[in-house]
Amino acid sequence: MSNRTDSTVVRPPALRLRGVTKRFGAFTANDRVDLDINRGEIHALLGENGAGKTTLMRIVTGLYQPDEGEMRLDDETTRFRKPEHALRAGIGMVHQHFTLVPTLTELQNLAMRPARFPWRNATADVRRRSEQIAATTGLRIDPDRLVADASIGERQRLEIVKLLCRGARILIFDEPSAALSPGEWDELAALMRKLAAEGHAIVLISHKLTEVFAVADRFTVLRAGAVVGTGLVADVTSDELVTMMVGGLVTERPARAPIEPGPPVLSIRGLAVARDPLDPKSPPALSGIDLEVRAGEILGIAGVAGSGQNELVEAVMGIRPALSGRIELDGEPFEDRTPRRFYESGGALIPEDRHHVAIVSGMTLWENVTMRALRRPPLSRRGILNVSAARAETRRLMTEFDIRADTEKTPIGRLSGGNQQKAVLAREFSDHPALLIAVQPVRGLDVRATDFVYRQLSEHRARGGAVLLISMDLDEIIAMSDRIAVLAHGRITGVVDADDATRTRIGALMTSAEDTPCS
Amino acid sequence: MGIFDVAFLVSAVTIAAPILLAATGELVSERAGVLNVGLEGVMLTGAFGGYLVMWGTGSLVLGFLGGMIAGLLFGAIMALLSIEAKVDQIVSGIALTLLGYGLTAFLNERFLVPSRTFEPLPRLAIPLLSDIPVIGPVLFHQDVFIYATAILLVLVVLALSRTTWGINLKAVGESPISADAAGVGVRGMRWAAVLFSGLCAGAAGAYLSIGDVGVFREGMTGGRGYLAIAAVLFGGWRMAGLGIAAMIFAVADATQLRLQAIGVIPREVWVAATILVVLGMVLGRMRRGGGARWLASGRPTGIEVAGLALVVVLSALVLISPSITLPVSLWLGMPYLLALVALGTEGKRRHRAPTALAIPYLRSEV
Repeated sequence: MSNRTDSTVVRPPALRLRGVTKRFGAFTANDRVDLDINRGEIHALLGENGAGKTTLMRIVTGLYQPDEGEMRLDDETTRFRKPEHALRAGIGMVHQHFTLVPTLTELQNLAMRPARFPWRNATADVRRRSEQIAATTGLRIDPDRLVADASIGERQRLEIVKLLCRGARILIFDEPSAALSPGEWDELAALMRKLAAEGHAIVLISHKLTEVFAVADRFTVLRAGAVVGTGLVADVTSDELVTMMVGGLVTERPARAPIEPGPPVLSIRGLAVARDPLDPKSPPALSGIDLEVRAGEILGIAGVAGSGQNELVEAVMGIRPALSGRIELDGEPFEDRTPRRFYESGGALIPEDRHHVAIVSGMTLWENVTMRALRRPPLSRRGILNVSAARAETRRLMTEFDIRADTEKTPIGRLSGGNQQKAVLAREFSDHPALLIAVQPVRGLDVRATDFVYRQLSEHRARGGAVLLISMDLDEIIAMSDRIAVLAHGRITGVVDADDATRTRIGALMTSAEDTPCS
Repeated sequence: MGIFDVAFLVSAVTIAAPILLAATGELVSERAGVLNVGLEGVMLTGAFGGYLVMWGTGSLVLGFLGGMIAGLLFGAIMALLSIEAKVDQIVSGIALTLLGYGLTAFLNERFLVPSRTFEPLPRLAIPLLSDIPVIGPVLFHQDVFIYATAILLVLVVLALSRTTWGINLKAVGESPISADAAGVGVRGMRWAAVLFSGLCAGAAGAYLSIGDVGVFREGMTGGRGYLAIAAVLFGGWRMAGLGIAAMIFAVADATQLRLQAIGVIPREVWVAATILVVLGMVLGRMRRGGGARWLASGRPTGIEVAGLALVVVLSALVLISPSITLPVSLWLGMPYLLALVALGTEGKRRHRAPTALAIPYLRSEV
């Protein structure tokens, strides 16, 4: 990292933004942002959701045009009218949601590009180029494999190769660790260091301060569209960064008060689920799952994405048929499962996909919040809805759950992600469920909303409720859970008490393929 | 007298060619993510445009050019509505079809009187190849349009599988966001694809009017545009599947033409139908089961039970060979009935559809 100071002195920054401003109507997304990205350094861009990081990066990658300000690339003023221009200039972004075509092979994804002679077949050239990249950076791809068959980590590697193939010198990573296992993150961190050492400029957008401290050289914090701080990572503490990001408004995550767990609320015995719900003979997505969630307990499920988490939730909910296994919910056998019976038996769910599963974005806030309660009295009698009661109930929940919306008649799609999630919580908790299944409940939420969700989960636990918390974020699982079950390749590879849990121990269980009997 | 003779196959090829050409254009368009439901209207406009120019100039070449330009114009309307205005593609397609029907009927009655009938395209025998028995007269003694269609099909297959352009096209229909991020212009690709489909459908329409029949009649495409869309679906968005589907529809159409003339259904039709149903069931099973275990695996599905019952009924008909005559209008419906059956099995093929099919692309959602 010694070249850090040299490069800033000797050479102009690879990318320099001066006074970049972007407005959407009356809203200023970026307010006179100055930013210097140097060669050979990893620059962390921090900020809450809505702080303007994404907008800024969209300006840099040519998706948006700034209203004011100047962008200098290698000390030359530039302006990108199209993403293609930014790519040509050597700026590439690894998006959080990968921009790969799953039905094409890895090589075809690399060959996907505007070409001067589109009727030619460029795949041979691209194959050669990818081999060169493999030789210099060690990033190896499997050229003839379909992207659909590649793991998340492999897809991310392909994204990076794709950008390097296009000659990117400034690489922007948008929350790259979101879907990675700890081991994959370590590999990526090493790769980022290596690319930086080779003279690439790296921008890391992240919520996780541990990652920032692990790899970044410098940081810039955005708040409400403006830069509130920038400097060397070595010179700040984690608390200082958080204060910059949220403006001194953090509350401590509630300490886990010891609670004597009660009787089991959810008990799963010998659950097996086929990967293809229509074909019982397809390879199993889950096999031999034994789990127990007790009252007053948060059971965390750790695991790499795609280890069977979705199948587990869907099988318990009754969306997906189980091959075998018994489930008990709130002390009663829960057979002939349907989602409706799941809710009626005391279950509740915070789904992973907020936009498509948890809410109906075109419908109003009150309709979304009372969606399930509308089926029965007092909100409906003999099939007739009591709309004013439903709306009054929603207004009550809006104050209780701090949902910020103009009125209860606002379409829920117009609320911010945090307020949408609060509305989902309001709906799920208003039934006083015995069991709450929460899948990645703070995904895409900012610090404040995350804090709110965690507090709600803890309060539910303190009231004697049970929580099944499924997350790919190991830190979240360790911080929130009483016990942690590790899911790998459709099996429970171990159950660990939270007090004994460490990242390494759980990481090892997450990647282990052997069948260790669960406790 | 047999009805499945060489002349029967020749007429099947003649029927298949325009459907195949229009379907190829539709496949390219759908691969780019634009479902051109208005194909019927585009084809009809092409048929009229070709006839219009030929009526004025008497030139076949200019006539075909006129048909293609008419198709291109209608393609441009579709592109404007679906890509720029982001109108629902089903709605804009229906509008386009209705516009095609109304506009051509009106212009034909108002301006093109008296109607003229032209000589259809001359058949060209390819030396040596046309002397091969059966295959020769069927494939190598056809008109220029059919040869041109064959060449275009080969070119499209190559373009889809062997060029950067083909990769970009598929990417735009599968994941426009990814294509956009890679710098591939989604709008440009979609425009090109829709215009190409318009061009193909226009030429196919012109073949119907001035190439084959020699005159324009109101609504003369008679649902062939829809058959082409069905062929794309049935063919699983692959060129090979498309060819098979278009051939099945064409054979059905040729059969019904023959049967209209004969009146009483001869025994060989029942034999052919039985063979087809059995073949279809075996193929369906193989695709589902995969490998050699297909016969033993799994319980029969509802469709298979129905198919089995159909086989029994058809076998009985083979043995009895009753003298049944059906009204002509029922025969006319046969290819469409077949298309309906084909679409009924579409559920299993759905996952092959381009993911972004019929979804307008908005960049702000990146």
